[in-house]
Amino acid sequence: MPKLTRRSFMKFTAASIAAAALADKKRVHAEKDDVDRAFPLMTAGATTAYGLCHFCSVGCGIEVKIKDNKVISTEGHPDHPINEGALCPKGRSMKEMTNSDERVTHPLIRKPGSDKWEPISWEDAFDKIASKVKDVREETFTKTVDIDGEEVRVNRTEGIFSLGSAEIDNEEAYLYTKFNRALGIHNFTHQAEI
Amino acid sequence: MASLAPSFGSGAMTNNFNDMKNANVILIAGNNTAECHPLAMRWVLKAQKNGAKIIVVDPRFNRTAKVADIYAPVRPGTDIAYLSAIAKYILDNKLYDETYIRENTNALYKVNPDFKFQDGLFSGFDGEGSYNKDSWTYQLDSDGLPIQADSLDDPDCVLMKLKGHFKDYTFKKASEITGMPVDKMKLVAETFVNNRPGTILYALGMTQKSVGTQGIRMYAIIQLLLGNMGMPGGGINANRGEPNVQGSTDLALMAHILPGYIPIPTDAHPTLNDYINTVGISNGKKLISLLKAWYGDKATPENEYGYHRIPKRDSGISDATYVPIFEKMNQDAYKMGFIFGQNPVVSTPTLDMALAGLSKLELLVVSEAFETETTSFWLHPDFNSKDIQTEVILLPAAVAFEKDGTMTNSSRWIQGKKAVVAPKGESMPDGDMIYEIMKRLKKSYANSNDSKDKAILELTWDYPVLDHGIDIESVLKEMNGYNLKTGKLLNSGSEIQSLKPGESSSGVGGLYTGVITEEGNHSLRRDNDDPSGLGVHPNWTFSWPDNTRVLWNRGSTDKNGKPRDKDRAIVSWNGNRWVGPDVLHIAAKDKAPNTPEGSKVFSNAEGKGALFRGPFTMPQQNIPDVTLKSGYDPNVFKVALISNEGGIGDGPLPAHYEPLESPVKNPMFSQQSNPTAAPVELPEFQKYGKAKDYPYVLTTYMVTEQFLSGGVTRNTPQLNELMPSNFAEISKSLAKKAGVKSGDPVKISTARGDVTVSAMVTDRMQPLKVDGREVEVVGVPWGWGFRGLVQGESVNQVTNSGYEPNTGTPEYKACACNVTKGGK
Ligand code: SF4
Repeated sequence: MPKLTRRSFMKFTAASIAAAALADKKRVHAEKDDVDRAFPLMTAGATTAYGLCHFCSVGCGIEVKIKDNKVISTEGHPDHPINEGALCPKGRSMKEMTNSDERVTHPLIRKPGSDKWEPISWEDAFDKIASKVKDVREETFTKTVDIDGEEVRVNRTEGIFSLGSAEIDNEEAYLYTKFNRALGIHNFTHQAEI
Repeated sequence: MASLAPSFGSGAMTNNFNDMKNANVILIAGNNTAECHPLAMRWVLKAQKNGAKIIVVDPRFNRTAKVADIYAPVRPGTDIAYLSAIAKYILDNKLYDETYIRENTNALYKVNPDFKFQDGLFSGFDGEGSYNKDSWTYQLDSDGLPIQADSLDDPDCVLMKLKGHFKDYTFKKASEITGMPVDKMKLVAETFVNNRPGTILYALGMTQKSVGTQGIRMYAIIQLLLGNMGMPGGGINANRGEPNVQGSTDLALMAHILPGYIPIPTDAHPTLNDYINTVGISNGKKLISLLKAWYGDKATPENEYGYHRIPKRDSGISDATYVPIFEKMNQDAYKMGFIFGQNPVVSTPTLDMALAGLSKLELLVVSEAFETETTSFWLHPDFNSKDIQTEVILLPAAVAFEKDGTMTNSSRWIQGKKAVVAPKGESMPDGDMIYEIMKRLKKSYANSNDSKDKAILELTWDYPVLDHGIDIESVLKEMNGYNLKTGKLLNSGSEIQSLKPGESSSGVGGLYTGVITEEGNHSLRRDNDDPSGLGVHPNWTFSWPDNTRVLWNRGSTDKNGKPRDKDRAIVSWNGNRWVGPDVLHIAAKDKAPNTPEGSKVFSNAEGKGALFRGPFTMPQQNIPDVTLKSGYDPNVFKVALISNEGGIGDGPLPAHYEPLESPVKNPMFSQQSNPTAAPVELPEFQKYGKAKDYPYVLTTYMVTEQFLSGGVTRNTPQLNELMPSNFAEISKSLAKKAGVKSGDPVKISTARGDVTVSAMVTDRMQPLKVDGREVEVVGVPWGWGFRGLVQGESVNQVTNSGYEPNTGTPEYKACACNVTKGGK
């Protein structure tokens, strides 16, 4: 398929979930086709992929079965040197968690004084966040402070704090730090501290 | 990790999970492995099967204790007392590894004669909560290097200072403090000391205390004395909580560091020269490589490599940030906040403080996969949502199986994975959200000429966009870093030190370098072969640093590079080079064992394991006479210090202080609790209770089936079936006093309020004999709240927000409470 720009991709996902599923077929990194595993009926026609548990920091490997772009089973990965095919109940629940109907699947906004969520588009949500960041940054920026009579450039945004997260991937965590620091945010930490 | 880094040079789990099978004894204290790290337990049990003794120290007879060889109870918050008794036992009976401590620790260094410790206070106390550390130093020669004693009996040397410091911690005294019976404590000491190598496992059970850093320092001291550091089956293994908490710490989602543990510039360093002069050559080079990654060609020597684009921290404040953010929120310091993947409305101690704080914001942006107590704080049962003016935007986050990326497990393995299904609905990876917001900010600042906006406008942010979002591997490459002369990916963090400043870039200062090279993406390697049988698995993903699996492993050999234990030969010198299943750490890989570079065992300022941890600066010798031009001058690297260690804020040695809320007076000193603990900022929330009103000790923990705040697991039916509701574990004697039986509601009250949960009356809890009387301990899992498929009151409504002064970690584990029959 033709390469999509970021913007058109977002319109595209909103427009057609079916088409998105098609596009995402490419993203299933199948390791082997399943033929004669323990549960032939359930997994017939499923592909097997490699995943990581997303609960504690032991970092167990998971054998993920996928059918029709849906996770249908999560078992301990037999090759992983730490868990050697086993999982604890949380690792096992990765399937149910991923597929859960309780998940938030659309950006939402809660207006001041309101008692409910309302949907908001990604575009509007991003625009709103960016414009508020800019306003608060402009309003609460400290360029210099006086230290023993010397003017020291500090470039701090005072009016925004930022928390999180130990639940996101390394690359995301790196981007998050880079993002926060470039904005001048120094009230910045996450659950590692607590 | 505020204690391991000053002790050794960097702070992380030293060995790995598989390596635990090599231990002859495992002390699990401050970690309920079977419950909280179930698959780590696999390796504890393999060790036990090989004959190792398993010791569990915990206030509660927990799931790990069930399979232990020795279980010893301890009163929450008093670990330093029994560990000091073990240190005394080792020192008095000379059970330390004399060769190891002579060669690899500062045991022989002479301490400043002005150093004193009296009645719970070290020399230099200002009477107001902080120390001047000038007397916590070594005696130095004319080159600025530590003077070494000729013998370990020299009264000035570190080892003798330790012996004096711990002399009053007899087993009997420590038993009176901790409630651990004397014979049990002796057995723990003898078993751990007589079976080497031994490893220690800990987690939040050790750190969530007002003396957390010093508690881990006890582990460092004991493991150094016994020669257990660097050995397969030895080390100190911090079992961390969240799936990527090691990674998020490495990548510095924290106020006091930048990625790769580079110290944050502060207002005490107005120029890049000042910064390098203070933090030393190595950190200076790391920062420049990070600035090259963030600002590319726009980072030049002329503009101090963009040094001023990083916000400078206030040098007058401590590293603690989490509780202070909520304090400042209540003092109207913020108009908006970001909370990505975190649920502070369950996890913050003294929860009303967090709820009130969030209500004061104009805008809160939250990224989550599920609605949580935080995303929906305005629906809290105590609130009328009409009164809450905070606008909240909830961004739906994709989950692990839906995105490419790496996570670093507790033992430093950077493990890669690929997206295997599409994000559900319109959910999106957090990385893409951050990317999009920054793109918009760049656009809206596009016409600005204001110098402060260069931080945004010139930030490197051109990640290729693929059909499903940004190319995550390109981010990993930026983190790994490049040789800017050749344009090739770097192979090792050491290249940042050997290349000239500005010739390399690395977004993580070299810490993750090697994870992705011209050879390929090593985080995706999945060869689980272990030729040595020592649990090294060298070709399974990538372990920082440099694919080293056991940190400080140079110390597993003697000074000639010969393994100290032939069955645990993980590295060795074969006469020409270092060989073995693991990558040599921290000595230079191409240098003979008797050279200065080839004999280096630790990477702190002295290069020696710190039994005593005061401030120390390693100076450069033969400094040329140059005048530096202002701002940044490359000559600064010829004159700056080599490395710098500031010491730990509450002392060079651990001492027993009572928790901030305690049922007893400190039996050791008139100084009751940690003298450097931060003062109360919000008296309306941060209240302290007295023992007469709150005679019992409340401690909190997690269960296998509900993870941390429960934001995910309480939305997962199969886990809710296993663990449907919260409870309070209480002893039979306390149940009798309170007049409750299992299943009855009990009210747990503290100075901060009360919560009601079901009683679970159990033999797992036993009253402890402390200072001649019985002290009851109450245990409550903390991950409950008012959202999710199953709900329950959060015990953090009543926990104490007083925190550890070095790290900011609150003292969740030891609060003063009362227990009565509940009415609800
Ligand atoms: S399966 Fe269990 S032990 Fe393994 S990483 Fe997940 S939560 Fe941890």
